[in-house]
Amino acid sequence: MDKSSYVEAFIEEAKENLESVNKILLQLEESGYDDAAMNEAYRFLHTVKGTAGVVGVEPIQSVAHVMEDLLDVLRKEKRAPEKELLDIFFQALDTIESMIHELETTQAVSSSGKDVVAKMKAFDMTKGPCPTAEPKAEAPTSGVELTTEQKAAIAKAIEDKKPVYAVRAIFENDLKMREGRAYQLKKRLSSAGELLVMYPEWEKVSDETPEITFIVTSAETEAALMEAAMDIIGVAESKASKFELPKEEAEEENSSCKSEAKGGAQSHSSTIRVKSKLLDSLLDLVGEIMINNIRINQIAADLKHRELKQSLQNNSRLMTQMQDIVLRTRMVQVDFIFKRFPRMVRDTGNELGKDVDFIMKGNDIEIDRGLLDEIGDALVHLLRNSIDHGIEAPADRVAVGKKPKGQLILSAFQEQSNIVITVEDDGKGIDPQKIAKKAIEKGLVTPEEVAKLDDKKIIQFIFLPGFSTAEKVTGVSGRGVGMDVVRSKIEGMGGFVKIESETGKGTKMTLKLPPSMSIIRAMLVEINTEKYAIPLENVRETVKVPMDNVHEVASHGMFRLREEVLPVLNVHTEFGGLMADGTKDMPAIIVEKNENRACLLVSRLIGQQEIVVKNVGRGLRSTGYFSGATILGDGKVAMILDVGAFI
Amino acid sequence: MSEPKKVMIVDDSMVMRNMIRDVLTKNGFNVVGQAKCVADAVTMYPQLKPDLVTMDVVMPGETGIEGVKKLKALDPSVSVLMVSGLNQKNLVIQAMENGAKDYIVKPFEADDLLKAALKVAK
Repeated sequence: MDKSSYVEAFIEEAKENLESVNKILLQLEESGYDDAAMNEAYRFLHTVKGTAGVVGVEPIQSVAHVMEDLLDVLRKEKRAPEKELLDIFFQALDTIESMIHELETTQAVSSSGKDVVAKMKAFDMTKGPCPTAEPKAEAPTSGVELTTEQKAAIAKAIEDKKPVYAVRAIFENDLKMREGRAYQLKKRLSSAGELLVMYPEWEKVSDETPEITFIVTSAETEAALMEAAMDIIGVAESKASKFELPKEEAEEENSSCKSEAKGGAQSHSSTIRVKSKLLDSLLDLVGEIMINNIRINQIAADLKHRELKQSLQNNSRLMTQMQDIVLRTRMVQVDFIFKRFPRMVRDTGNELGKDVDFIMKGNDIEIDRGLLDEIGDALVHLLRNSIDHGIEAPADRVAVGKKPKGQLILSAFQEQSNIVITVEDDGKGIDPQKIAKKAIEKGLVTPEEVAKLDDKKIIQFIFLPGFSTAEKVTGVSGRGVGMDVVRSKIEGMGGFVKIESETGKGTKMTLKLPPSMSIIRAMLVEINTEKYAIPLENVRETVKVPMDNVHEVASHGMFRLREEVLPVLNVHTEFGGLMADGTKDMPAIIVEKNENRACLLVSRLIGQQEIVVKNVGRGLRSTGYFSGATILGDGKVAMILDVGAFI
Repeated sequence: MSEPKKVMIVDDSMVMRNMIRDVLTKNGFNVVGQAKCVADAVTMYPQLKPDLVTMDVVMPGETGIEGVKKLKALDPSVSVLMVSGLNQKNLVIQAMENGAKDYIVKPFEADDLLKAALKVAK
């Protein structure tokens, strides 16, 4: 059987199952034993083990198997895993996860997981009433042992002149779960006559049992009895012969603990899985079609063909719907990545000796899958920062009159069409003095500049490349990867990051994300003779700027709009054109980003339009002016201006 | 050859469903339905009237044992093949006590499944 085609599905499914187990174990740690949760964890792990076996990933199977056994013990004894065991469990899950990762990237698993398997096996589970392993039945090597009752029954049958047969069923070598086969044999032979003895009893059969002997009285022939035994799957050979009483005693064996598995209640919806790559291509195609449609619309407008125009309008409407649906199919709940955070927060808290009460809100908010994948690392960084730099050690918290347990809230919500994700802690907050001092030390700003800024502005320094306030670099917050990376990542997707902090009270980071990464609304403008797109998010309004109202202040053009004085940006020369100096009025866009505003002069305003964002190469991006490009209705390329670079 | 035997697969794991489907389809069975829980299987059974039902033992919601009981109540002649994990002997036997015709053990080879399916299908 070709197993490779199932590996991909296995990886996907196993990841989900492992995340669920992680979540349940955390829940068990938090709120103690719970039947449903425990059964669910067991079931998830059981599936991982089973499917790993099916697709032939032995190392995963073996780790999952041992962990499953331990969970089974806990489940039967109705006890929650103690912390020590929980740590081993988490280690086992991590091991499996890394194996899955390896499988995903190299199509093979090289590690065996031996260490963690050994750890699990060595863990003393004997606290409870039931031993870990199933007691194994002795293999009947020295013939059949009969009880007094059995001997009496056989003697009676012989006395009654009934034909008594011994039927031996020998199992295939690698047959698994022989108990079931034994049960089937018992049923089958019972139907052929009266069953006097079954040795060993099916309850005591294990996979080490090579064969089973039955003693039956039957009207059937020896051949028929042999055939009956062969009816059962897994019976390699059977023998039947007339039986005579031997002289031996039988003995009792311990019975094994009964188990009962019950899945936790879980809702199911009619969904199908689709490769996200397919959806990406579909979205790309929809984008291309929409662009093409704009082009056709223009041709129709030029032709002044009414009927054509009308049916094209219908087409546009349908395409908008199609785009909407494709975008929606790409939506996943933020829970998709949120669910892995409780575990991470727990581990980080443990590592740093912080006690953290982690709360997640809005897990059901939906967001574009592409965006979600991108922000995962950023969120990890923010959460770790909060635990590392924000939340104080329990003793320090008590000293300032706070509860020993710090609170960390991760929430997602929708604000108009944007998705907002916040990370909020009630820790010590960011100290502007410390930030300022550091920034000056690093030569990022001068003391004079700092003196002019308020606390809010000073805090923004943490976004500067290479800035780190940690007095010692911990393994947790990492080295080199700073808030600047988080910010550039989020901004690269057309979103923005905001930070608010109050000394002693806590810090709140806000990530505002566009609803989708690939299609945005933009304002199209012309600078010189080239067209450019400005994301509508960065556009506050459009104005006409009378050039004689632009005043030079310290070699910067300034323009007064109502009560606000805005710097005037003129990129005509930079973009390879001549400054049209004599122009009386120039159209301009008031652009804004991160609460900074400026007045960007353009040659012509074209209008608003939905654009499909295409990435541009490093060369163009490194100019600092462009965040991407798009293809316009006329087939020409327009660069998307990165407003943040100007202001 | 006579009509291909109709099969309904009941399993909460997509990997397992696909695997069983592929093996059986390649060997002349007609997989007419797939259910990921007992409740779905019970709804689908009367419409599909399969000659064979493969039934996972441990699933979310009701277990495969409940599944056997319910299908048996709908159709006393139902042919159910349990697909069991290694350490679920008690459950499998319980399922057989309630009318399951046979079982196979995960991980199984295509031959194991095929042999059992041919034996159990009506």
